[in-house]
Amino acid sequence: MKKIDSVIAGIIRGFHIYNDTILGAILFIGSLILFIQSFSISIMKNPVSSLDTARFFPQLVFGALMPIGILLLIRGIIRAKDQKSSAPEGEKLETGVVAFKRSVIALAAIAIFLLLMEPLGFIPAAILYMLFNMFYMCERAAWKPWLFVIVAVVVAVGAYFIFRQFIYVRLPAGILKGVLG
Amino acid sequence: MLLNGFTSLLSLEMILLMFGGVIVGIIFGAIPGLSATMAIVLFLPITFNMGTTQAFALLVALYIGGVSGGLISAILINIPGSAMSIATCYDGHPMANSGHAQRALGIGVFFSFLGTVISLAIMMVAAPALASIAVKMSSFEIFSMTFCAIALVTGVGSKDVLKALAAAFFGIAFCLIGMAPVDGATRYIFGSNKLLSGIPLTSAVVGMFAVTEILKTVGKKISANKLEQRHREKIKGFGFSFKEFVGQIKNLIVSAAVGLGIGFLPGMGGSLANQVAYIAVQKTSKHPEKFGTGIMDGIVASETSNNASIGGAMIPLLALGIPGDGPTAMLLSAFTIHGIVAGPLLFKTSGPLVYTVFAAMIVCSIIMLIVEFFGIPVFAKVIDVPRQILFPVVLVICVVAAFSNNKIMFDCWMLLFFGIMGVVLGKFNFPRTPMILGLVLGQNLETNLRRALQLSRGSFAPFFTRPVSCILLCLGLFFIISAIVRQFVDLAKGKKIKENEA
Repeated sequence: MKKIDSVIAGIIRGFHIYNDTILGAILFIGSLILFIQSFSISIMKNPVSSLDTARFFPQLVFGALMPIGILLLIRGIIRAKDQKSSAPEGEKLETGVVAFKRSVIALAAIAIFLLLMEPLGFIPAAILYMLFNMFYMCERAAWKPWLFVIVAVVVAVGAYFIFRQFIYVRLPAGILKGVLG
Repeated sequence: MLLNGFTSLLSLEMILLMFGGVIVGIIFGAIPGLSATMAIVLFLPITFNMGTTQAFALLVALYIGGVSGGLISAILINIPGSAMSIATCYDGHPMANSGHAQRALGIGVFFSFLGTVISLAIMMVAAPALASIAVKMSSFEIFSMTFCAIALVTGVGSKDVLKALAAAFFGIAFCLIGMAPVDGATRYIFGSNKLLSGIPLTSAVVGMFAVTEILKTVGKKISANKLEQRHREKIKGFGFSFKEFVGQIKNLIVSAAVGLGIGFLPGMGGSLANQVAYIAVQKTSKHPEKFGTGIMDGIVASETSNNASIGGAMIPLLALGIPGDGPTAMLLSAFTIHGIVAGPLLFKTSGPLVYTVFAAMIVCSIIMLIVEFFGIPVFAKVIDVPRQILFPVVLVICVVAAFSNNKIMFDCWMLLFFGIMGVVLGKFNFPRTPMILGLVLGQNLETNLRRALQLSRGSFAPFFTRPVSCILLCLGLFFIISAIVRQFVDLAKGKKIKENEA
């Protein structure tokens, strides 16, 4: 297994074994920080009562999340041993590693699509995104390049003009600004 | 008067207008990120030059079509058109996945129609009486009601109550971002002015469902062998027998009552109704363990209740001039634009128009039934589209829908953010439903809590001295505490908590 794969495998196993522990810790620490931060929220000079401020509700919410976080943390510690015995291993773990990497790539593709949407324009960015995903999601034997290209172009151009004409939404034109008007 | 209302709609022009409105509404409802509210907003300016009857016929058509359309994407691709159809995914998609997409759609369509018609019938008979109840609901009762609903979904409807509670509070926490209700104080915007108006709900809901669904699919390459056409089912009628229909009458009544009841409370509507009805039907079922596996009861609960919320939301709108949800807020604007004052005197000053609106709602429900019935075989073809083509296309449409809400890229990034959050939280077996419910209702909860505390000058006593509020609060607390106790008893007994649900 490559180094990156073993790191991902560690993350997957860690998530499985210490699921509640990690979640509880994140919830507790995050809530504690935001609870403390709530004291810096500016409030009205003359509230009707001391509870009638913009601080009260956040303190209530984060105040409730903190004990929930602690309970999850405790439960996680109790259950860690059981979880260890059922943690994925072997082929299941390898499949998990592959799925993890593929998901990260798919997420990166969405992020790149959004990044390109303004400078490049919606139509080219959407076509590139769709084409990448269509090829990426299936096995080579299932590739249908012409169909993929036609669908990507029709959807991108169609969505642009439908939203512009009927919903009055002008999606970023980017490099096609001169052509699309 | 109702007959006169029907008569005023009896022209080819009016029928075509309503047909067009329902079809456009269904399209808006079916596309994740677009909604009935958006359809009404877009068509409102077009109604300026129309007669009052035509204008309201069109707007009502958009409303009814928009609420119903959400079931299509929820059933076929497991991505709800809006928060109103989230619970439809739970059983609708598994049923579609098992080769019964047309049956799932048929059930959804038929019970959407029944939900609308039942709520309209009650609205027509009891609007003034029910509206007087609504007006007596103060901030104390509305807060307690919202709390009770969230508690019901987290406490009763979740297998892991601790995580469900965390998810609900987590969702509410997102509502703290931006300007606080009542005084507009700025909170947790982390230096970004774009967060001043809070988290865009559409991006959050669509991101958590659409992006998560795509990432689930992308985990493994789609095999070329899987691309063959699925088994095509042929259904008769709506895909269920009369015996099955009779078996659903209890669920129909429960769900319609939930939809109507929640619909007529300001700020709640179908987004909450479908979740609560699902839990209510599941808990009163003889076979609760089958929920989530693709059974008819789940679709009946969700679709009856979200459509029943239409009649519910119309009650305070017509009788009090208070909108119950987004689309009715737009309808209130339409009333104002056309010089009509919605409120207690509406039935006296504009009686014929009110009955025309009632008649239009009934006609539009029938049109919705016809359009969706004949559309079922066409809609069901979506499931035959290869996933490697369908999902990228769906994501692009979701991005466009997110962008179109405020016309800024920030909303698209929020879509991605909530998509990532959905995936990460999924790894923690964190349930999505309570989180989205918290996100949808958080602001309502805070607004009413603060208003109530203003009225009571900081005292919590009225929450317990007012009978309705007290009952609802106690019920909510009971749901949560009993669920926590049950969970810890199970843990002590060594039972393994079943991971995750919807």
